[in-house]
Amino acid sequence: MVYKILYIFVEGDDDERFFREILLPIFENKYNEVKIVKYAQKPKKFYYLKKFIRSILSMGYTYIFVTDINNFPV
Amino acid sequence: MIKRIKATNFKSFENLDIELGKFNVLIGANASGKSNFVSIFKFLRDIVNFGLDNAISMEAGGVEYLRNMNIGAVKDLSIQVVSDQEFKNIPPLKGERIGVKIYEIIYEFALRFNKKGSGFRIIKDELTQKCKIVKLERKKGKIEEKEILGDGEIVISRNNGKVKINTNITKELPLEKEKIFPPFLREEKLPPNMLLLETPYFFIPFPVRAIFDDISVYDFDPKLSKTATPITGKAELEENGKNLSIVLKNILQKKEKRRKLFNLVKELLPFVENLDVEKFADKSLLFKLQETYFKNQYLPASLISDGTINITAFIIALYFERKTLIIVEEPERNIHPYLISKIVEMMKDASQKKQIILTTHNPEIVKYAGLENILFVSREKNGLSTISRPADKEEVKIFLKNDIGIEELYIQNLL
Repeated sequence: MVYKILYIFVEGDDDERFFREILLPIFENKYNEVKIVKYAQKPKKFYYLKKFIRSILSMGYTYIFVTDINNFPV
Repeated sequence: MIKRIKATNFKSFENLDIELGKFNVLIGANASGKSNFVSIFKFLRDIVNFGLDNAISMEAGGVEYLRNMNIGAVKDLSIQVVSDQEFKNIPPLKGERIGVKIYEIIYEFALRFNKKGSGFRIIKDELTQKCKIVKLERKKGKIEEKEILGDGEIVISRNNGKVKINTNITKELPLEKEKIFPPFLREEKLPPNMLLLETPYFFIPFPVRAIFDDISVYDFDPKLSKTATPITGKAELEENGKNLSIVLKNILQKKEKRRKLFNLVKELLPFVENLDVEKFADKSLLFKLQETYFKNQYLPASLISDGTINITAFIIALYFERKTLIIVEEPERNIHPYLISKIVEMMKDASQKKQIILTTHNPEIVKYAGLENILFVSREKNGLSTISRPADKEEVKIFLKNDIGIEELYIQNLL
């Protein structure tokens, strides 16, 4: 069976807590490993995410990107 | 150098099998098992120095905490150590000069627990010494190797409570076990809870016990170093650094050592003008420091910063203590991040002469340590610890290739 890792990008601690407690148990049955990456506090965050996502895609693994809709409705 | 450690049912490890290098950086989350890994080394050292029963008591308080609490008594506790430290000996032979050169040592013991209570028995206890038999010759007053005659193996094991020695040396070679071991070391009986590690077989004819008892696990407490030390203390640095004044006094008395210490301290702390030790009327010692800012005055130890004391103790442990293996617990404590890269370089440099294992939570150390030197300790869902090498993981290699630093992977828990 192909080894599968799921990366979940979350903004910060609250999102991480939600994913870890509520969704992680569901994903854990479908993936060998589930890893949560916090990105909101990182400098140059889009460049930071780009490097991560490029790496994950080249490995052939899956990712979920979570973000707040901070600017809606305008 | 200890190049491999295997352990089963030891504290949080069910099956540990890890190769070590000269410089090893142990990282992992809190309570992942780093200290349990370090306690394997302490346990072996304590067996050599105090015996098995005392070592169990000192390391865990009893076998129920030495073995894994979930696994319990159903699995044997075993430890295997492989070392490539060399030992030489010239057995007394008439006519020819033949030497035995040990190049690899494998020591393994296993304990089987009683189903009830805290009793156990030793079910395996074996020391294998791989050796080369060499022909020697005297050249300009020195004995040198002339040629290698062949390979051999000396196996000392426990067999029904007695010591059994087997020498697997080619018959053509002029060496028998009677020539290697003195008569009083043959067929010796062993008490039930005594390991070979506690017996003379570990220093006669080869002092292999040095691999185990020459280990220091430093965990410096600068508050202790700031208090006066009685002049009669230990000459080698205590693991918590409390006798730093005595060790410093001995170093400062020797010109060459003093110069070396100052060069190293100044590399990290350029404001240090001088270090000295003051002797008080009550025969106690306290070290003091002169800063470049106050040329005519010394600061007593109580006013010296914790970081300065930590760095001084750390340098002494790295460069002045004669140990084959040192383990340093969180050397970054009280130290400014700017100095971390220099400290890591010092450790790499010192590891050419002694094996170093350090435990850390510091991303800066992870950044400068070198991927090949990092050991990652983690805990499975069942609570068991495992140790892996991030350098062996494909995803880590890809992240690094895409310019994501190893320290970032560590902070994000992606190793």
